[in-house]
Amino acid sequence: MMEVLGRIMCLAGAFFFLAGTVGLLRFPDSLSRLHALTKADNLGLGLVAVGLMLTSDSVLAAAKVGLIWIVAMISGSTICFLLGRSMLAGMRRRK
Amino acid sequence: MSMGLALDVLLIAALLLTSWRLLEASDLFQAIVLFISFGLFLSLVWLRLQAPDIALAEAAVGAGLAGVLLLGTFKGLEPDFRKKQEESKPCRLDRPGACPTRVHYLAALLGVLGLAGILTLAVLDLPRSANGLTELAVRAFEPGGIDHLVTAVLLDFRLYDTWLELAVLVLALLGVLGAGGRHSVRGLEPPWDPDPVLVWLVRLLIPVVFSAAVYLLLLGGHAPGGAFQAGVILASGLTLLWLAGYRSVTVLPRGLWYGLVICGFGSIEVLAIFASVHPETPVLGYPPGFSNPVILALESLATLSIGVVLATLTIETLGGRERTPHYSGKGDRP
Amino acid sequence: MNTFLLYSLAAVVLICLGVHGLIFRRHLLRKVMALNIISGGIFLLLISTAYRNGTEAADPIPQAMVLTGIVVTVSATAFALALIRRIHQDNPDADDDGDFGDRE
Repeated sequence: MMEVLGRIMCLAGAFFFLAGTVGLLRFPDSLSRLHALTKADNLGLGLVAVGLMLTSDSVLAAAKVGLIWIVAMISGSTICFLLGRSMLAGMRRRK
Repeated sequence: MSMGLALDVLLIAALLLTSWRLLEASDLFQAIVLFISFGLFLSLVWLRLQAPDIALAEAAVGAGLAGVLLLGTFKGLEPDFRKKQEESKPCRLDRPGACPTRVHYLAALLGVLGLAGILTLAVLDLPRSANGLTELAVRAFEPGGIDHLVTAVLLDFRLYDTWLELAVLVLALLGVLGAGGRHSVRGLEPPWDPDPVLVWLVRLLIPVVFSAAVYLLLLGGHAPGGAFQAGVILASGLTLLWLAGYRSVTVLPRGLWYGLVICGFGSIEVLAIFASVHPETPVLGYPPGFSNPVILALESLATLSIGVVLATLTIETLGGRERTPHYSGKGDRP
Repeated sequence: MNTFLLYSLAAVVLICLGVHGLIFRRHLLRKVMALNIISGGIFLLLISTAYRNGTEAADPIPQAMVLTGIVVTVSATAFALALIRRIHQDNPDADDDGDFGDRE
């Protein structure tokens, strides 16, 4: 039961990663690509992490996966912000 | 076609595609980003080939550290990264006969094809299944030592390799500092003013980074991990601290910095001298019964060494401002 | 075609791609990246021979060698990049296309 649910979560996460990649390829502007990629990837990572937590062997392993997810989410969002700010500064410089 | 084979084909296709595109792309920045993703795909390939230690190392070093070094160098070379570099410009050397002609390129192409042929024949000639060296290594280990085979090989069976690998790191540090024309990175400020959001992130993450380094170091005894992976994470933590404007490798007094750089190599040197003097210890081996604490001590010192050396390399490559009374905003070199 | 053969042939292709890039690409940074690709190909060849047993655990000795090799590769890359920066500093009159590698 947990196995099936875990696999469904992982597949859903993979779908969101795919959606983010489609956004990366189709959006016209760097900023919108960054937006699509970060949002979709964070959500996809969360779903994959939940799926892994459901199929893990022990509570300790699930806690480790949860910690990895939190750290990846925090650093990913911050890096998205920093990238966006430097892109904006670059665009303003070029005007 | 089984699932495993399909995954292998996909991974290899991604690997070859990224490596081909990164050599072909006209935009150098794109090539560097493709290089980072090449490192990540290679890390997945290591996982598929049951080599998790190498996957950890490749993700940290090949994708992370090498990417940062390349980006830092690129920034120093080309301030405006949006300019495309074209590869098909004519050669500009003045002397006649100094530029490679079509004959040279044809000869080089034939050479590469010949290399491909020879390597393919060699690979097809290898036996499809063999036992490998595992039993040989396991027989040479001390009983009751480290559980994880790769760490045991690195620190027991092939301690010589690890010793000289630490020496190579120190030599590379000497080369990088020498090419940059400085004695140490002491007193370097970050090349741009730290963003407050970055400072917040660093303050949040640094405890996680340092405890992850210690965790990987202690984990190396019975699971994938070990001194090198912990050292790389330590190096990235130290670099992040420096970028956020906090005290890092750049404020160490010179003696302490020398000591940290050399302690990995030096500790194995001390062990070698001790082993040559002590009657019961094998050559470059451990005193019988003391292998576990000595191995842990060696690994910890190696982690410190690797961390400090790689952090210094990265800080030197990223460049920095000297802490001079008047600064021009870029690194001043005498 | 078993896994070992697939990855070994892929490693051969990587090595040859890297050598081709090293010879035919002129920008020095690209040559450094080609060197890293060659190293990756060689490590792939080593590890695919370590994987040969299939069901049993992988051979640890080539894995330890590759781990050492990765350290050496990154050290050499750092040194090469420092040399590239120094070349660029000492030839400021090179064209902006980064073609300073060809200057005398």
